[in-house]
Amino acid sequence: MKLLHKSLRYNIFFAILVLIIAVPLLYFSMQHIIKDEADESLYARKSELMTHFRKKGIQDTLQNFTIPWKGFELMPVNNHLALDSIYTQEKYDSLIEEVVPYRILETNMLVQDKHYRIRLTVSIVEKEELIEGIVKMAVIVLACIIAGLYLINWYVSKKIWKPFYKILHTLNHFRVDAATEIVLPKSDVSEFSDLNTAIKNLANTNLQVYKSQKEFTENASHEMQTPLAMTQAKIDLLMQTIPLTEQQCELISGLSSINRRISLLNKNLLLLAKLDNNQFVDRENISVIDVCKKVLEQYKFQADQKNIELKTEWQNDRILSTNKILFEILLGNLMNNAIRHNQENGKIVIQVLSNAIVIANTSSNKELNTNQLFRRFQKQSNETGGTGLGLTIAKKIADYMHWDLKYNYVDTMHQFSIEY
Amino acid sequence: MKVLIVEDEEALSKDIAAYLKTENYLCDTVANVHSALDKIDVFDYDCILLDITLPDGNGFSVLKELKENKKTDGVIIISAKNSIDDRIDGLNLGADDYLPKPFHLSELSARIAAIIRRRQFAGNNILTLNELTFDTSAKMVAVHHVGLEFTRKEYDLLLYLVSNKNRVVSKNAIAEHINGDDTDLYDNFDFIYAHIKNIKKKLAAAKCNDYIKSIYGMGYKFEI
Repeated sequence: MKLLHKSLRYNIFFAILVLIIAVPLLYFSMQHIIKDEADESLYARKSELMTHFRKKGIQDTLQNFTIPWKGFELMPVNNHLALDSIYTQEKYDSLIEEVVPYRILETNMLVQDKHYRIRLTVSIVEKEELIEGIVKMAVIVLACIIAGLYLINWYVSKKIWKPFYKILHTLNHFRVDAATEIVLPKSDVSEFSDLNTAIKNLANTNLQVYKSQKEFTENASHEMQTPLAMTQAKIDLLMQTIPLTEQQCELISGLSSINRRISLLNKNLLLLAKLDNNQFVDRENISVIDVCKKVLEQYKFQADQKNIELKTEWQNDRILSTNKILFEILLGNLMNNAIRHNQENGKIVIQVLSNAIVIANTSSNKELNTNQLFRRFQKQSNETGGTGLGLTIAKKIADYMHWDLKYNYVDTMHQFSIEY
Repeated sequence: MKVLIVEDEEALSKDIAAYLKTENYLCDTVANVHSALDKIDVFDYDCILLDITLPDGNGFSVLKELKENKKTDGVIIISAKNSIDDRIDGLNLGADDYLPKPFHLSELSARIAAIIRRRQFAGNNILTLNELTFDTSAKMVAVHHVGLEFTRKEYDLLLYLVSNKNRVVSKNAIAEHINGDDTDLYDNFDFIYAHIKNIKKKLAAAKCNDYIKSIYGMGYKFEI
């Protein structure tokens, strides 16, 4: 639920509450006002009437003064002690065929030594009509308030919250490894400009840390190369010493293998660092099938060693504008993987489709865990000798090229596909 | 044959020199650009091994100096920075080869030998060892002047061993040499054994002496 809708909900709830309380209050106060008004006019008429009586006499009053008035009755009475009384009475009005409430003032008057009882009547508003009117008003007001609130909210979200949504959008698309500084919309609202500053600081710190981390990896890998070369030279010289026993030879071979493994690891780390640092900008037009054939040629011998059957299926060639070295490394790593984790007498199927290369291999391993597959140093089998970086590099290269590298387990075959 | 080693890690240049001495190369070692420039001013070298990152500057300035003075010394860049840009820059500036660290001394030695061959017998690259003859431009092997049917990998392997004759070449070095950078894969080196077996068989059939010795599973040596 949006923040605005949440606040709108409270606003509307409050408006409804106020109106519910307001309806009876309005009703009673209106009724009171109407009654007061009616009473006031009754007393006013009474005093006007009295004055007229005294000046012009009863006959004249009856003729000239009282005729237009319907609500006037004059009755001679004996009891002159009766006090003024004012009350409400409901009577049937034949004209509108409804029971209508009336406000009635009865008073005694002495005119020419005769006692009269005067009854003054004025109709007041019906109860139902009053309630109806008030409720109608309340509903209209409520509708206006809700409509108004919605409009205001819409406007607010469009105008005032605009920077917020822009910030959100920018943050969603911010990638620390893209190494581009975050650009946020300017806002004259202090909360948003504060937020901007806070986010900018956070992003810049992250970029800085990430950058130095990347540089560290690359520098460290470079610095490792010379000591590795020195160890290698020592090993190579050690091999030339005479005499050499078989035991020494075994030890030297072991050293040499370990050194090679460290070199490979370092080389792969360096490659990852270079990918992170966008150091492969060269592009050339390459035929997918040509590259596949070249890589296959390189790995044919290794496949033969395990007696692995290589099946190829060239369906649709494409010319891609891409970095040749990276493309070869990507395919090489996948082939490497397919051979390394294959069993003796296994099978590898390489397909080039219209928008994808699919490399599938048999293996004694079960379906792999996709979540861990492309992470660094996540080995999912007991095979030794790998650096644990092959698939990470493959994934990284695919990302770098904006391709999709996917893993599927189909018909007991482990299948990696590069979609471009 | 004179070789200049420009490398600031003295332990490394000492080891390189020690390895190359067995091939009867005369090695000078310097540790910075300044001394390197002094040396190339005075002497002509058959091959210069040049590190790029040196304490007092960039190895490229040595290349530029050579180019300006129209010197034709062969140059192999040995760099810790295996970057494509460096490689291209170096080759454009007249370097003959680029060997990223770390490397096998046997690989370095083979590359030096290749450069010296190119420089000495321009167009006529014949290498003769007793009854064995290599035509390095045609990539052919002959025994007693009879050409042998060698695959590309077998030829590469034999020439590699010959370039490091009388020295042990490790299986790792052989695997990397004949397969380039893809050696990532090899857990066993049976395929080298298979190649060596084929080479020996072909040489024996042509009545060539058995020069290739296996050294306890560690590597092979071409003994002559």
